[in-house]
Amino acid sequence: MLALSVELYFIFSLIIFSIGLFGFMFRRSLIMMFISAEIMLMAVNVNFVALSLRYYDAYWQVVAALTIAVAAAEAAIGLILFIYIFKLRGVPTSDALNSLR
Amino acid sequence: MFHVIFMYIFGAISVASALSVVLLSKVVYSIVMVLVFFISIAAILIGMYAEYLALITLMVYAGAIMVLYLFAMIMFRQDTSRAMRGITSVSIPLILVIAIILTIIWGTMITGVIRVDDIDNIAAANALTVANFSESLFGVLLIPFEIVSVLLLLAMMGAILISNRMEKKVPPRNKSGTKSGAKAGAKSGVPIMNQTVIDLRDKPINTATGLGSGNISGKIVE
Repeated sequence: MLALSVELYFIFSLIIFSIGLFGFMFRRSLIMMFISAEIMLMAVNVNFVALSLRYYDAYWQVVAALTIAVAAAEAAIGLILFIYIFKLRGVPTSDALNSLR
Repeated sequence: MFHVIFMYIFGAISVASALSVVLLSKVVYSIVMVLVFFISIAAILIGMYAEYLALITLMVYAGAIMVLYLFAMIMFRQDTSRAMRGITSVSIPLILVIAIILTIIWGTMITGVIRVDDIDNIAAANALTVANFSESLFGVLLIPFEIVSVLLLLAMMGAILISNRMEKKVPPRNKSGTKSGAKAGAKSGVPIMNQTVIDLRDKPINTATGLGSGNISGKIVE
């Protein structure tokens, strides 16, 4: 029972990803949606590192590092879009963006 | 043995903190809990022989990104009365479909359709050093590394462009956005966000800070 397998990490990241997906779907505030997206990205990183444990190859750790860089870019763009939407609509929720509906 | 206890403890902490991020209604509490989440994820990464990634996670996520979110959050008054979206007719089938897919994946893992084998700690510790990391980073993955540098530059330029456009002209406010906000405020009885921050757009924005922080803070603190 007390042994670590790669699948344990896979299931762990599956749980974390599901929590982030739930937050992304059900929070109204845009900033909480971005934070939930960060949680999902972190789950993906754990998954990549678990792959590096399966193949004993540092390649997947580098992929996770590149994912972190992409997440940083996403955070910068997402926050400036958040502020833009807030100044445009006055409400920091995604419900305000309904002019295309 | 030590690895297993480490993984279970920090896995439990990270799942609990992620749940509290999603379920807590105030954004400040959520951001503090997401800090706890990233620190526990960094601990798990140390247990997975990814010490350098744990360092990057602590520096980039816990150090930079969360502080950025805190700064963005400080400027706005949040309406905490309706933090969660209501259950609509679309969301229940969506949740069902996602739950079925996740159950299938989980079931195939647990029942052994996918091969399960234990991690060889000595081989992992030999194969996953920082030296091997750098060999992969500057060897096989050199071109993605360069592309990521261009991507970061473009993201920075995009953010600056959008904020410049925000200074010059802001399009007229849409009626539907203010109306929905007014409805939410009137229903719950909290003061409406629009009335406190509506002066943002009309006053000249401070070009030094770029975001007009003086105006915003003066309006919100009251």
